[in-house]
Amino acid sequence: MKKIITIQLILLLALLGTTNAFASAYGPDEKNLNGMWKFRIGDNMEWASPNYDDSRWNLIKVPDRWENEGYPGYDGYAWYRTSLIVPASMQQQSIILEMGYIDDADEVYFNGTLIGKTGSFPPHFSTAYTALRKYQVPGNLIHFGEKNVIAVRVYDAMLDGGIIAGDLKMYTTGLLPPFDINLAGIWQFNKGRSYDENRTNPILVPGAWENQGYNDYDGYAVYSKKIEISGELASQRLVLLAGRIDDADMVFINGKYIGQTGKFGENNGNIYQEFRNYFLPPNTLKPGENLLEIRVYDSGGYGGIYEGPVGIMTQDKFREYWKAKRRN
Amino acid sequence: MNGKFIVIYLFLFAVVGVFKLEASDWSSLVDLRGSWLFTVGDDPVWAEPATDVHDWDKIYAPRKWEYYYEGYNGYGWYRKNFSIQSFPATGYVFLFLGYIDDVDEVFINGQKVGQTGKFPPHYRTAYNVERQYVVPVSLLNRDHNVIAVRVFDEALDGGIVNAGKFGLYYDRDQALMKYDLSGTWKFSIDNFGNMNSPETDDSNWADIYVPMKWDNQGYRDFDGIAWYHKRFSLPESLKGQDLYLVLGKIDDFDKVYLNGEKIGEVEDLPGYSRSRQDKAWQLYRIYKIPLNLLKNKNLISVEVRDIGLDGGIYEGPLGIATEDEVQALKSKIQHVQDDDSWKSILRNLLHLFD
Repeated sequence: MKKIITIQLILLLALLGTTNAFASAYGPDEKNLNGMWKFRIGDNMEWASPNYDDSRWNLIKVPDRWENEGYPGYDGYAWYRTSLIVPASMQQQSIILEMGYIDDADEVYFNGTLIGKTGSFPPHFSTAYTALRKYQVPGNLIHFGEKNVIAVRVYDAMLDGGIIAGDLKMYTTGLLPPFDINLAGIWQFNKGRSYDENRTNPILVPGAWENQGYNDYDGYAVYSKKIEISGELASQRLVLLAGRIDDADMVFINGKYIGQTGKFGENNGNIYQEFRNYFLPPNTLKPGENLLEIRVYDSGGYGGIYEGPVGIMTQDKFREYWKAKRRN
Repeated sequence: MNGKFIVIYLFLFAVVGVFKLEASDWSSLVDLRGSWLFTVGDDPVWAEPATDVHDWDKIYAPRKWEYYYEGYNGYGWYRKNFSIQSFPATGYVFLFLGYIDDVDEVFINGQKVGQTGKFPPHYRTAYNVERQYVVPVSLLNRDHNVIAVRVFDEALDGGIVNAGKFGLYYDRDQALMKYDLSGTWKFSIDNFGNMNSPETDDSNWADIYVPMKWDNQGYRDFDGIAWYHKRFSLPESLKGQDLYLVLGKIDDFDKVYLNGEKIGEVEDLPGYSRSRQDKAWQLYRIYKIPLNLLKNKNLISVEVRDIGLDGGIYEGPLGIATEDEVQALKSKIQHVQDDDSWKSILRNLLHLFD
């Protein structure tokens, strides 16, 4: 019996190896993450850590509903873990971790750091089982050419649960913007037309607000973030990249209007697909703390700062970045 | 009417192609189509001829910048060096830059020559306006000229996206004028009273380039009445001759005053058919100047009424001419029409009162 299990393990390891071998078929800029992951029901934040020993965890096929994988009728928390080698060729590239469809809510940790979440956990539970998970992986979290650990915390309220469908992979989408200040991560969020410090809640940027507890919300909302900046950086020409926003947005810095894309209260056509760049003359930001506000108007469907890149860089770097991105 | 004015009335048949006919006799001075230097970003020093541009990209213009920079929105600057083989000694030449998406500001040899649309924070697109600027010849050199175009694109297509005429041009008809009146005039859309009187102080009025429709000069979508003023001293050499005031084409109607006296008009006359009214903007304005009205210092005041779409003194030539030049201009205009006679007919010379 023990022998059989060992053989199974060897086979599984071989399978995992095969999976990795297949990864090369996608080219150097894509790593397939479908296959066998470590799995455990329950909830413990230590399981996010790359150093946690998961060698005694079960293996589970991803993607598939966990009800099909030996956990029929299970509702509640569970964790998935896997490790992968990120090729050095992905350095300086913008890297997306696509996690497929997760039922109902998830948080994804890369080498122990939260890089994205969709839906919300109890006590303010909201499902996002129809949302395709795509998370930006910050380059500074990645050990290139070495082992990296992905841990996924999942909560399922009822019926199917887990990483149920999709095509899990890590891939590059082009050159990584050389940000001086990367603004991907936790922002503050409040509904309404203007910033209200007392009514803000944390929200992850980028990511549509529908998947973060504001299901079916259309209309006005404000993203805000306090950013620290050095005097040296503030004195330069800077560019704020605000990613793609659904539908229209206005940018304010320390209460001062900077610019906008699209029009509030109107139909904005396909402007939600456009990348936002806001140009900040020297000393638009002041040394120390600044309040950055992005007011958003969404006329329907998904809303908010739904896709990156989001951050601030000097205009000099911005010019180099676009020279490097040039096609033709 | 006893010889007060002539209107050469070119009544064109309603054939679509005819309306696109170039009545001005454009001569190309510099073709700017081709390779330009380009960078994303924004910095006022890039207007300066001496700016370091060694690390700028080379791109072709006119062509939307997304061809090179997928999904790019925001500011970008274009620069190009050019030489001019020959150009008029004085006066103005025209710069055509086609369609720019959304807003642009143009500098030649470091001097701003114009802007179309508005930059953020009070952004306003002008993507559907053909760019036309007036460039004083005094700004140009034979060699080592630098044109810099600052562009802002809010979204979707961006840059100098396409163009018909793309470069510096000169209107040969303008060379026929004995005294050149093209260039900067005073302009008001507010009626302060006595608007056509030489005593009226116009020093605080806005500047406007003539000939160029006012819609391209900050009065987009303005319809109604506006006043143009030009003060000038007549050269000695022209005194005592029979002279004509040539005001090119005006959209739509005009009343012309010299030193406060009305010398001519094209207006919405009773008896004009609806279709003829619509053609007033295509008439050449050539008004006989009564000899006794000219003084040492003179004011031309043109009261223009625009009933829709583009407005103003929009096409040359503009100036003072003698009988000889007027005949030459008339025959050139007629010649242009004859070239196109299979689809248009020079109907008549209406109101030839001289």
